[in-house]
Amino acid sequence: MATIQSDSGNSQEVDLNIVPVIDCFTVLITYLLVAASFLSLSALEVETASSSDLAPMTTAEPPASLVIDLLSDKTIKIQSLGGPLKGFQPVVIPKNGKDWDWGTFNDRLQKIQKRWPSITDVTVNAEKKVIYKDLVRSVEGAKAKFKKVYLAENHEIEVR
Amino acid sequence: MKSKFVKVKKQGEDVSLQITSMADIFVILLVFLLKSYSTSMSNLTLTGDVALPEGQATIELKEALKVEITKDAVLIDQKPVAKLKKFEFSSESAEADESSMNKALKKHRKVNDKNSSDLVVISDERTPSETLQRVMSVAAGSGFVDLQLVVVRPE
Repeated sequence: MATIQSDSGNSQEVDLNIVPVIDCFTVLITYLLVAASFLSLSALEVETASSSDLAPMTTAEPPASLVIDLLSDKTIKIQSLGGPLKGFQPVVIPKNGKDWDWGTFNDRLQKIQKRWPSITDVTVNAEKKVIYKDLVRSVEGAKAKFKKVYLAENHEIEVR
Repeated sequence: MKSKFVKVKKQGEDVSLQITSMADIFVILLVFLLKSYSTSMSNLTLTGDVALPEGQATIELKEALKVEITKDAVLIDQKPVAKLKKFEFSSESAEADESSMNKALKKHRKVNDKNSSDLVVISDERTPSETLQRVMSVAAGSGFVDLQLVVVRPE
């Protein structure tokens, strides 16, 4: 119950009508419930790499980079591309049971990054039947260790 | 005996509805919903049944052209431009689909930012790489080479 005092000094008791406020709240809440998204979304920033970008250059020595191949049988291959990486041996990570061996993949990437810190670019390439979820997983692993990650447009890449 | 247990309503008694408690609940609900309502990329509405892959990425989405890959279609700016059958392009209409995607991308570039190379990719986690690579190839041809792959942060 609210009290309003007039100029003459007489006070009047006024009832606050909160029904219109409830109406507004109902509409607002209904809208926000419908429009609100309870998913927290984020993004992985990558660039597109065509096979021509990955072909060995014939003039100056290109900087060293890595190529990660995701095969349909859940095998992961890590190869080098470009400038000489002394002592680098291509890595083949077979599947772990029925699934990809992401643990070993992340460990190997970390070791490669530690041993050859000059590598900043990684290209992720996947065979046709590899699903997006696995591609994202590999990109995430690569992004955690290297600056730039490229996604290859097609699988036919010749790597030395 | 019955009169002792049955409450007798007095004539002319007004029954008032107590909505103060409801107003309190509404205020709390409203505050919570306003807090969780995100204004950045708030127009990112997913069409259809798209299951986004999970990821630990922390980069916030930037405003850019959106390409959505669902089970049945490829949508550019929420408009279907190509039909898919279980996430795959049909071999018969491949050229037409590519041409349609190309047109939509070029139209967007003409109407909006001519220099932007950013593209937001919203794809279902079950999409095969072949489909994604084809979409990427068409997008790269139109100058969209900087991709943002949308992922859901697991709680």
